Amino acid sequence: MARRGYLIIDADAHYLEPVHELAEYLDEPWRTRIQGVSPSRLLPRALGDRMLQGRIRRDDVDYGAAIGDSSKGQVLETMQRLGVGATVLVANRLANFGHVSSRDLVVALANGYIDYMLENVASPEEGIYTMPVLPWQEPAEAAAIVTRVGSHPAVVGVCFMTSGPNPPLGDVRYNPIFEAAQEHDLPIVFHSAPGLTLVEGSSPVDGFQRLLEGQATGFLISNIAQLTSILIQGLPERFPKLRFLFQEAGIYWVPMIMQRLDEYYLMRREEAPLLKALPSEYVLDRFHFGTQPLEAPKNPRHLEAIMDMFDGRRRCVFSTDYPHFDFDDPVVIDRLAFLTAEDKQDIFAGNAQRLFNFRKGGVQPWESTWSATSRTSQNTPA
Amino acid sequence: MVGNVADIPEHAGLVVQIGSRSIGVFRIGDQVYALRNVCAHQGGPLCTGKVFPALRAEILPTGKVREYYDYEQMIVACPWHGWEYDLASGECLADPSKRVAVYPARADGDSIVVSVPD
Repeated sequence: MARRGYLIIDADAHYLEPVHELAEYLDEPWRTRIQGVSPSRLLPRALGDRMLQGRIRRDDVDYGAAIGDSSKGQVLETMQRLGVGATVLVANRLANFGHVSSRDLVVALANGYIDYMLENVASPEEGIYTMPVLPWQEPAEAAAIVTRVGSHPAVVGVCFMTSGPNPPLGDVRYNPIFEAAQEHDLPIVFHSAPGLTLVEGSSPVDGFQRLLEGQATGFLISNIAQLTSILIQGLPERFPKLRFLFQEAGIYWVPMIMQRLDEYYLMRREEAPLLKALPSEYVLDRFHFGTQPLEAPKNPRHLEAIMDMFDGRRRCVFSTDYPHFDFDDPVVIDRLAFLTAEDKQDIFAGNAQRLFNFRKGGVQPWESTWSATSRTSQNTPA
Repeated sequence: MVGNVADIPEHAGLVVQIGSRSIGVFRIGDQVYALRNVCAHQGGPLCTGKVFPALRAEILPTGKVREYYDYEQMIVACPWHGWEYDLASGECLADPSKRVAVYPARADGDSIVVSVPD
């Protein structure tokens, strides 16, 4: 599968997990508890109608006024339509479980989710990969999940939702999780979440009146908080082989927080004594960033300047975030005149192939497009 | 002539192909509109979206804000991401510097007539 000659890996698409079905994979009493209640009663929901009274529509996914369930067939259909050769699926309803205080519930859901996905959906030969979503609330249990499924060929990373963890994820209490991920050569994917829970005071962006406000800021602040924590707490030094990916907040924020952390590090180095380089230098060496929702300034040179500031041509991985209301079509990269064909192929696939552990199960058929249109041959778009 | 007026769905458009162009035809009362079926944002199928009145707001003397629907300005919203366009001008409501092409259109009896440049 390719689009205009490019192999495309979608580093972040969402699977609308059928909570009642995945409950079958849980031990009692959670199996019974979950089957007897609407998922919206279990997990906090952000405010607002994402689909704007039907203005926004997804014809191939049951994602409208109510949120339905995905299926593997629908995932393959969407990949075909978007021209995506491989996809990394992330849970949808679990995105807000960082704010759930019932620790045994989130552990049960995290286990049930990954077991359901590996048995029913994941398929490396068809380009469908996934990751466990880890409960920060129980680090030892989260590490046990990584150890249990980390060798599966469809598991290409481990995922934290960035809204909710307290303390933020650079804290040493999460060491067992990072140890397990490093041992399995799995990148840590920090997936943003709105941080808008209707629980007063549980997030810096609670209290907004409209979804637009929470969406524009919550995803950003959640990622900024976690990136700051893991850099200043020296996570890259504590786990020198770990690779990191931040998702779903666009890219403009990246050079801003890099520069700001450098300025404060220069003044207060003694508060970050593990660091052996400027915070920004770790970003340029070990961190990747999902492109969605990619900013589209009126002057494209502004986007080019942002990319220049954090080596975006090598740090960015294309992500659609489909089927969410602010998903990105591959055209957002394809139309950027300041990128060469080689840059586009790196953002569409090459950077993700270097980041994720796609080859545990061997070379897969979807990769053949990559070799057929390798960077030295004819991948210039028509 | 691209179709019959009766073929235009309620609160939506009729998408027709005229030469190489995909065009959406809309009808509000007696007025017929035709817009290019390609959103200026990411190329989504704009004219398969629904028609809505523009939502506006006014600041009341109390300082509070009242939101209301303005049925004098009808818009079509792109189903991919919700970008709104004025049916008559093709202008994007959130940013008038973005627009889609509009074409002269009228009802001739039961028939829809759209004029497109060569």
